[in-house]
Amino acid sequence: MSVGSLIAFCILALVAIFGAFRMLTSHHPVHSALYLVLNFCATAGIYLLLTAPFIAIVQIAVYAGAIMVLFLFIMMYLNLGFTRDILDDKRRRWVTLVAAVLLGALIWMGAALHGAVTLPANALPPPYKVEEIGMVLFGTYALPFEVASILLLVAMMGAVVIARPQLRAESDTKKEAAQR
Amino acid sequence: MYQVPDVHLLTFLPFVAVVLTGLVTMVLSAFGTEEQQARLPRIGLLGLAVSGIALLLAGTARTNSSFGGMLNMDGTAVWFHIVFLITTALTVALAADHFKDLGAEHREIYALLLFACMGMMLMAAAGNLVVLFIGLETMSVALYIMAAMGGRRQESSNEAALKYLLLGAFATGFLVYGMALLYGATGSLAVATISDTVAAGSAHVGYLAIGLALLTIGLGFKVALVPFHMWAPDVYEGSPTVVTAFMAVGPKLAGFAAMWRILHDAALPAQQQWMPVLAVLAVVTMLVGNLAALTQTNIKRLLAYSSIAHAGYIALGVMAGNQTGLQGVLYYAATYAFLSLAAFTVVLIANGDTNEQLHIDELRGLGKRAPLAAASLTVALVGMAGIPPLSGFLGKYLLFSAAVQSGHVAVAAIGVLCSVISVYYYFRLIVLMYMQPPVEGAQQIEITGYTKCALVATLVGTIILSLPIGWPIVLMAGWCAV
Amino acid sequence: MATLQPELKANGRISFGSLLGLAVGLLVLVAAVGFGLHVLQAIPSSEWWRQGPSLTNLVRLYLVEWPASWHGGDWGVWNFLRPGRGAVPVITAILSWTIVIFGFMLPMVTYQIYALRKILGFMQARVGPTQVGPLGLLQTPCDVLKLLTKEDVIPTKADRWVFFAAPFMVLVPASMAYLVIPFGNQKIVDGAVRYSLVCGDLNIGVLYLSAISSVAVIGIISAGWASNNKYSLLGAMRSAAQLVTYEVPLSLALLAPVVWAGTLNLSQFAADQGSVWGWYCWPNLLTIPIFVVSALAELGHTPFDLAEAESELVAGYNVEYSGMKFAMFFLAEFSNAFILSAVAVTLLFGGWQSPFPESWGPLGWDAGIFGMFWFFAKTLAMIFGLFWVRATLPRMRIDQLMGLGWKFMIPLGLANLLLVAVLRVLVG
Repeated sequence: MSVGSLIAFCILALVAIFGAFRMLTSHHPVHSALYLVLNFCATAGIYLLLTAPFIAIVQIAVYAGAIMVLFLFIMMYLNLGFTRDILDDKRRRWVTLVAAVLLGALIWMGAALHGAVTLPANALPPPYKVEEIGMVLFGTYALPFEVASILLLVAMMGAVVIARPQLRAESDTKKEAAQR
Repeated sequence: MYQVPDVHLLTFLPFVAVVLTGLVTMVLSAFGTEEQQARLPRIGLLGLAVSGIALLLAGTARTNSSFGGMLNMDGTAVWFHIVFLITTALTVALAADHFKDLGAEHREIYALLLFACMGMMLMAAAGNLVVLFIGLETMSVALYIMAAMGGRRQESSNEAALKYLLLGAFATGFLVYGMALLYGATGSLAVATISDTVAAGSAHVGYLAIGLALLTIGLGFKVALVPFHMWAPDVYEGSPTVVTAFMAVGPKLAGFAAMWRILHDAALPAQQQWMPVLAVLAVVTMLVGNLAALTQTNIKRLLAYSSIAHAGYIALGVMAGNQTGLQGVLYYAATYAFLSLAAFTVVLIANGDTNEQLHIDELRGLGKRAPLAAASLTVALVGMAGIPPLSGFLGKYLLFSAAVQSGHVAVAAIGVLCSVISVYYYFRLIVLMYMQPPVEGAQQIEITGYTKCALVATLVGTIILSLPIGWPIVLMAGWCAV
Repeated sequence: MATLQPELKANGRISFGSLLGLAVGLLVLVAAVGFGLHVLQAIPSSEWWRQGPSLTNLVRLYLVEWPASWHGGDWGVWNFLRPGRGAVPVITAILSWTIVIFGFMLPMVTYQIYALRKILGFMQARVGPTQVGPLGLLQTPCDVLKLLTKEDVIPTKADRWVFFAAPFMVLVPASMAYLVIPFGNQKIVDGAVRYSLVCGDLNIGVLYLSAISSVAVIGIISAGWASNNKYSLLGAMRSAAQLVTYEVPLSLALLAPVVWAGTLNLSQFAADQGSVWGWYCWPNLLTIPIFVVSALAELGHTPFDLAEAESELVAGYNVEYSGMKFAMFFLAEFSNAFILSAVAVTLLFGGWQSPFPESWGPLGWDAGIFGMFWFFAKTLAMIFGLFWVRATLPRMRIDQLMGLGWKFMIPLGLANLLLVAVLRVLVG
């Protein structure tokens, strides 16, 4: 890694950590969401440094552009107010600490994995070009890619079913009529 | 460069049949006329039947693998597929009669059931962790939605759905992280390649172990192994009973199929690492499930703990990891599907169209009020308790002997002990049904239509699986397990 | 005082002819400058523009390569500060960003607004700005100056930080989109880019555009929410719903030419199209209306300007904003109009390519500044089209807008994508 990309990485990593930290400690959910957007953007920058522009763009488009917009939309729509800091609760603080240490251990192990194993020969070498990703998606991974559409369809149905105003069954109205 | 995946249509046809039927029912449930919508259950059943026929054709195909190894339609997969198709068909039949009683018109349940069925089939046939994950998510998302279809009991149903969704998403996180570590350890997501890498000893041992542990946690949640079972009683209680019936069978068995694919097909050479963990989990699950079931007074919670206990028994087979183990898992899957669905069918019948929380006292005198239902529940409960000659006995025999073969005599002994404990709470219900007078003002219950078909089908299924005619099926399971 | 209040001109109304004349005159001016430079360099064909130093090349030669030749040696840890390494592209990027915003975006938007007012005036039988400067040409720069010097009011109950940040969250994505627009030809000699009139030749240009444009919505809802005003919040909700809805058909419309061309790189798009019969608009005839309608909705132009419907509501998400922050929202909006037109031109109408074949002599030239000429001519025509629609159609209702988006545009977009894919396979 050249010094330039090291510096770029450090800046992006600091921004990402700052965003994540403020996301947790902000007292207002909207602020948290905006810090999360900052975190996503910094993460996308790190992906760019890893010569994976496609993933970086997808990160921006999907997380910052779609999911967070939805989050913010709902928060503002419901006018969610100030929340108590989850770290205020003493018991939760310990639980959070333990969870954080465990997750940290997992991430450390993931990081230590770097260089520990050699990737198989058929894995894509960087830079990950979008054409190659397309070939793999529609070739090797055609089946899961197509089935993912069913998954999304099911999720969409769920949104419609749950959001739809409840219709009353015929038997109910009949019963009511009979009672009258 | 682009390579067209080698699709062997024959092996792929069962999925296509289910998905197409799901799409048709979905479109009809949104845009169809009243008449067409009344026909939805029939369309669903037809599609499942077509898929079953396609499955038999798939059994004759030259090759198991399709999509370059993404799908692996071996005997195990086909067996599980048949179980899933039957489960879904029975649930469709139950939904046809009982879902409209909820006070809401949730016609989408047929499409959701079919899509969930496809997800489960993918999990059982997954030759690649990505396929497994997508299948699992399709199944889970469909279930989250179905759990929320509460109608008149919307609040408890919402609570159940939310609990299931949040904990399920958390478990999925474990699953994905486990897959990532497994990829890191072996450099592949394909089950066959992972297996080769692990066998060659070139996989990173530590990451393999952690990856497998995380995967076990993720799947342990789906199948409700203790200590990842906390959600099960609440969700089973709050969801509509039809959905609970499906939830107690389909996802659980699919989870075990996936567990088998990962732990056995992919990581058999690392068996020494996962075997003790799974043994402990199985023992704890059997103990907690059976002991907690003793004190339950709500029948859905009782069946929930009972299903947790059964997850413990099946985990024994997976833990053994040998051929008898798989034979036991396959046979017990079919057995458990029929027994559990029979029990839930009777719960639906006894509940009438109120769908309120059912206290076990309300089963009093069911032997007089609905003799067929009471008989069916009796068979189911005796079967679950594992009393010979019923099918549960054969299944438990296979599972426990697999555990003994793998050198876990003490574990098998605890399993037998737990079965003995379970007799108490199963027989308590039978006593209530036959030896107690009915509740004041209780009427005779007519069983008609789809419900009657479902009830008879579960009864017939259980009897076919039982001794003495059950032996050929055990042998067939053994043949599928090779 | 008289100069401050000039008399109204008796015949203030300008004709369509004079407007057209103005546009033609501008284009002729650009062409003349290009031709003049061409003659000045005394090179017998357009080859000079294909080979010769452009601005980018100049920067490369004088800021990167030449200083690098002074210090051939190793700078150790500070190597990244050496010309051509690490820090230099970063500095160049920041500089060029500043240039894009103040050197291009601001003047372009200023005169786009002027053109809008003139064209709307003409079409609605009014005059538009006439007073400041000849033909009112200085009216909009004066407006900009006014906005810049205006007091910057922050409401007491506003969420100060979010209120402050929101205009930037809208403006930054809008300015980032210029990165991938090919304004002119790109010349590669011996595998090295000699000059290129695109800032960042991204392989995933189209994806980049759709990703970047989806981020701006966050700024808009933040602005509406941070103002702590129910009208601005309502306006933000409407805007966000509209933007999110029409992003889908817009992306589908972007995908159709991508399927046809087999690339996501905008320079590649422009380079592949050739003269008029090779443009991708022909197989994409259905894409054009989808793109235009979605673009109008994304821009919040009439007939989709519900969010700020000035004759019916208070302004919308930006109602509490004043001064420069208010200007930033408008800057972003009009800049997006340019970007969307430029993208349409690049994807469907040949980009910087001349519509005439090369054999037609000077008419067929599209290297260097000639390419820029064609690019801007087409883009301005496209913007004119958008303004024309704006002047013609009445406003829709919100339910009509949503219904049109979800029930008509998205299915149509999908059908069109399928159609183009089938055509692609058939043509081979």
